[in-house]
Amino acid sequence: MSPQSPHSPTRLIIGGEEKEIKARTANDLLAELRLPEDGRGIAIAINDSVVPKSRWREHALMEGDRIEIVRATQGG
Amino acid sequence: MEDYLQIADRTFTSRLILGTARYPNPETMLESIAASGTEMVTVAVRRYNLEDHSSESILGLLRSGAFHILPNTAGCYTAKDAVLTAELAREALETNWIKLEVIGDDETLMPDVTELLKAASQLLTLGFIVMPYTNDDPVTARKLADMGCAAVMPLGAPIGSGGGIRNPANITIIRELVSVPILIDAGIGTASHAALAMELGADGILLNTAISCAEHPAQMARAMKLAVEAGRAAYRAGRIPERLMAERSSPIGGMIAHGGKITQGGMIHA
Repeated sequence: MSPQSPHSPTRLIIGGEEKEIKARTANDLLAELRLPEDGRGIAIAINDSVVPKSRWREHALMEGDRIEIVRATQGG
Repeated sequence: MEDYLQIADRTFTSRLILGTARYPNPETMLESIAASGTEMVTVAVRRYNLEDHSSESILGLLRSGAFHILPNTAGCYTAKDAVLTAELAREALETNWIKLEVIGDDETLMPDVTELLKAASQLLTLGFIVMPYTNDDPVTARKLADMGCAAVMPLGAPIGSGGGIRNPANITIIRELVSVPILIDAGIGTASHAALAMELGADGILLNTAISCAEHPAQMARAMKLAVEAGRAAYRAGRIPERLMAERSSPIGGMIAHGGKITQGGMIHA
């Protein structure tokens, strides 16, 4: 069974930690992680490139992808 | 006469920018922001905490006011990290404004000028409004302004040090060299530092630790507001030249006899 088949989870590095994820797209990933699905105040980078919100639905996640999910926090 | 701070296409009445870090609690942060009269606040961009969804987001807290949100690239050591952080900030916050920080080491938190210039150039190409935190070095400030940065943000002293304006003459020189707004970005400890910076010709001041870590943050925020207004007013009023010797303010004509003799230079000889 290939890692991209519908029944096999994908291994991703999310915020530096390895996680097994069922989601196949960036959009489904947010839902699986129970993050706000409208993506308000959130940005995603995959392998050091920002994936704009407009492409979350179609952006396919690949085995070993390095994913950063960020939001605004206190800062000076 | 009206006196506004113009940065890129935006106009501000307040010349204070406030950081949102290190307050004892969110209520004190909001009180201090209100007391300062600021219209622009900075935020950082960090990993979403996937284990804890409960904490209220900083944007949620700030929603009550119509603040212009200025994201920063604090914590970045390379141009590459700073550019990616800026791009993430643009996506998350829907603003192309960025306070660019690229630091060189943990002890000084001073900018790495080589990486800073590289990052500024790339971000300008990508269409950002770039406001770089820089050394109090006139040459670097001029380079940043010349390449198209919307403002330059020289430090007064190291971040969080409260050291004030360690090199006032450099701020004056930067004022002579650049025409974009100069915003003093670090080192302010108390109100007199803020007033001095404004008297030297700075267009504004970014404050965080001086307020958030003061014993009474909201009171310090008010003090800073007054200091910035006073310093700005003094700068615009045009101060007298500094002299080594005294210059009497009361007239000498018509004085009652004192048995002395007034010479041309104003000296009285018994």
